[in-house]
Amino acid sequence: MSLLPEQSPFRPDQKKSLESLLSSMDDGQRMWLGGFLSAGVGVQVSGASTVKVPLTVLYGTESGNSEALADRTVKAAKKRGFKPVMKNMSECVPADMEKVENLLVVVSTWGDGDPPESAEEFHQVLMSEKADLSGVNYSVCALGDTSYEQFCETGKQIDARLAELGGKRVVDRVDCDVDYDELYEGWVEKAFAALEPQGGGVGFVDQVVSNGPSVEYGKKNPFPSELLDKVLLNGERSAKETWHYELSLEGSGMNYEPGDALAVVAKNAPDMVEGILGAAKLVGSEEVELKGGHQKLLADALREDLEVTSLSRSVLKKLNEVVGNDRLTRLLSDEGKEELKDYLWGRWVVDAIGDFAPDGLEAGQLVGLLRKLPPRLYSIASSPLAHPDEVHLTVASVRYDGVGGARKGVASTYLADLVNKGDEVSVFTHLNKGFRLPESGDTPILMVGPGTGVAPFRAFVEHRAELGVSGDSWLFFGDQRYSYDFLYQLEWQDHLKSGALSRLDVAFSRDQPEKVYVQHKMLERSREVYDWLERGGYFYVCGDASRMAHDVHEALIQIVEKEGAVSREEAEGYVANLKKEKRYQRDVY
Amino acid sequence: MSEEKLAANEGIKTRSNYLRGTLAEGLADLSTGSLSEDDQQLLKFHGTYQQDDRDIRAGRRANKLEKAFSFMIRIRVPGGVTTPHQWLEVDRMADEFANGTIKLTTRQAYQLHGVIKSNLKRTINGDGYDCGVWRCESERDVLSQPISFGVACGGFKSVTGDFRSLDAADPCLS
Ligand SMILES: Cc1cc2nc3c(=O)[nH]c(=O)nc-3n(C[C@H](O)[C@H](O)[C@H](O)COP(=O)(O)OP(=O)(O)OC[C@H]3O[C@@H](n4cnc5c(N)ncnc54)[C@H](O)[C@@H]3O)c2cc1C
Ligand SMILES: NC(=O)c1ccc[n+]([C@@H]2O[C@H](COP(=O)([O-])OP(=O)(O)OC[C@H]3O[C@@H](n4cnc5c(N)ncnc54)[C@H](OP(=O)(O)O)[C@@H]3O)[C@@H](O)[C@H]2O)c1
Ligand SMILES: Cc1cc2nc3c(=O)[nH]c(=O)nc-3n(C[C@H](O)[C@H](O)[C@H](O)COP(=O)(O)O)c2cc1C
Repeated sequence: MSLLPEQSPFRPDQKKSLESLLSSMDDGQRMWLGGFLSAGVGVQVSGASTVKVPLTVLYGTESGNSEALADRTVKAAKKRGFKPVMKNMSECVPADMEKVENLLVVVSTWGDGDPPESAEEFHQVLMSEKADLSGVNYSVCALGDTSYEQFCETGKQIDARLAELGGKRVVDRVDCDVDYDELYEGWVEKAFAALEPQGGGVGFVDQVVSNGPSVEYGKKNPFPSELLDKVLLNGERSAKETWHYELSLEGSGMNYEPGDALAVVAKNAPDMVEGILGAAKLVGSEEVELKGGHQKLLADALREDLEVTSLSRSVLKKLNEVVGNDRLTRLLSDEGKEELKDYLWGRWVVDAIGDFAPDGLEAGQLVGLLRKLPPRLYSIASSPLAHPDEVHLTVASVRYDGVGGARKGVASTYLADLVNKGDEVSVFTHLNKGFRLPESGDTPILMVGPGTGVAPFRAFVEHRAELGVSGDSWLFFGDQRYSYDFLYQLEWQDHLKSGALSRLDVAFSRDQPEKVYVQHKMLERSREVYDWLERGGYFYVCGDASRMAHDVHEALIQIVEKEGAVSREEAEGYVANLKKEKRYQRDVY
Repeated sequence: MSEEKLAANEGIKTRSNYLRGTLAEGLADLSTGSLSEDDQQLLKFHGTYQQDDRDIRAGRRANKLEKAFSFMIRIRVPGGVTTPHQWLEVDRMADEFANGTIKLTTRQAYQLHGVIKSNLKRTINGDGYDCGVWRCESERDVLSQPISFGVACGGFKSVTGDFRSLDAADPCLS
């Protein structure tokens, strides 16, 4: 005879002992026990009193996506009857995982297949040191971008290593492209099912990010923002094209802080759409079905929904499934790696269709090759205090000569060429908690932002000016030419005059035979840079991730080594500690 | 001493601590490509003139940029003679630091245009250039000219010592 109902919060072993205990009791004993327990002894009787399964949600992030997913996981896990804790890789060591029973990992990949910067140490220790994870049930959700060669590399490495250290993979890893929602949702559902006690739990209803009213604007529902103004920031004769955009947030209910980014949902330019239709020998009036079952005209899908330009390994792989080409097969093999890299460089999807499907494709085949057009992020260049209901961006138009002729970036040239004052652009704000002004307005800040990297520092300086705080601020800016590329020059002059900006050093790289970069200016002023750090200063870097951020990091170490008169190792430790204390923050791309 | 009131320029000169003024500070401040009015006057005594590119003046404010300030540097050509080697070096300087052109004046001088503030010092100093004696027309240069009159490159070098000693007294330009 079973005394407990089918649905109960107990594990099978608990259920068994309880059954046997209860069946051995007489009615009086049972009644006494009921009263005893309902008086709240030993358990919290508020709400459903359940024995909660512990769950650790570990994340590693650079631009906040993994953190947002970890946060969603924790919220959903609570509803699901778990007792979740959220852990940032930057704040723990792999050995901490030995005691963990259930572990879900969300981690992105950066650089050239590298972990997010804040997770570097965790990753390095995990890969190189021993730990006993034999008691750990785990699963990994890897974030990445198929346009990078080392797709989801960090997630893959961590997944493999956890298994190597004895962990039990309860659900297979998922490797998510920039459009990660769907895969994530499937993964988290499976993971919960695998980790929770049998029979327990309510169905997982993912409310996604919005827990407010249904008209809330955000990722799932971008806000149609009016372009209020657009200004070219480069003077005549410049080789660059950097735009300042002012967008309206009025009525959006969306807020942001300096350091956050704005996601722009762009559309492909008409010539991009024509190009790919021409290469595939299609007309555009074909009906196609997109993911999620929407029916659309091919031309509309190519314009609004799909990434039709950027070529990646993943596109070639799908193309090969359609055409089965020998050369493609070789490019996609392990031996073809180097050749593939060369091939991808400077080529668009149209070029690959021309090379491997010269007779064209069917509409469904073409759509099958392409991923969803991901929104592009831009560091916000305005303070909400200085420009209420507005958001400003600093965007460099991407234009270059590709293998197949003149090429351009989707979002940056959408804004530059296709959006005029008064037009609407779909946007949503993107939280970036890892890039924030110091709490105290007295804390000195050092900002290194060449090129468009200057954007968030315009927001920082404006914000501090509006707050009327008195902390010192020092900007290192750089670009190609002094006379044409000194982004926001007049504004910096005003800020210097008012004291909102205390110091400005500039590095223009193409005004003289040798390169002069921001890090050279830092090194020239190494004594003062070090003094500012010693005074508790915060050090910020924004802009190019591939070279600049690396060189600035190196310069910072050299400055500490020289001015602190310490060894290279100690200087590295000093800088690592700055990061730990969140006094060294980066927003690089 | 004459009782006559001196021209405004003379006052600037007198106050200028031997033509130094605030040039050192002004040159170091790269938030602007221009110099203060007084320093601009002083710079003229060093053969250098602040200008702004009128062709592209309009509209720069809309780009959030100040006027396109730059400097014209006048190089005195002693005796009107230049060796081929020197010519090539001036040409190189014009390409690297100025707008690529060399103006020949009717007064035995070359003019380089479009030199921006951050390149001013090194251009005037002929930094990194052979025969690095391209001096502007301050008095000491005029004094040196008879010495270097018609002398070939090697000869120039022999007088650079004199310039150096003058430089030492003029830290703002060396
Ligand atoms: C957190 C964050 C903040 C950012 N902030 C800013 C910002 O403030 N301002 C800003 O301008 N950008 C910023 N970016 C970059 C921005 O998101 C876009 O990546 C950028 O504008 C390019 O997008 P696009 O759609 O125009 O180009 P895409 O269509 O994405 O094309 C870019 C691709 O073109 C190819 N390509 C580009 N140049 C060349 C070349 N010379 N030769 C061959 N191939 C080439 C490369 O494959 C490159 O990946 C930020 C990015 C992130 C992640
Ligand atoms: N990985 C990449 O290829 C990459 C990275 C960032 C931006 N971009 C693209 O470049 C365009 C302009 O971007 P942007 O306006 O932000 O400027 P940017 O290209 O990042 O250049 C800004 C300044 O940084 C200098 N710079 C180059 N290498 C550097 C280094 N190692 N350390 C420090 N400074 C360095 C540049 O000098 P020089 O150009 O004279 O060398 C320039 O003066 C955009 O289209 C953007 O998409 C490409
Ligand atoms: C500069 C840069 C480098 C990147 N490198 C890679 C990469 O090598 N492999 C990959 O799969 N994704 C790469 N990505 C994509 C990110 O992993 C992806 O945007 C992810 O959603 C970011 O998650 P996060 O916000 O949690 O860091 C890169 C993104 C940027 C901006």
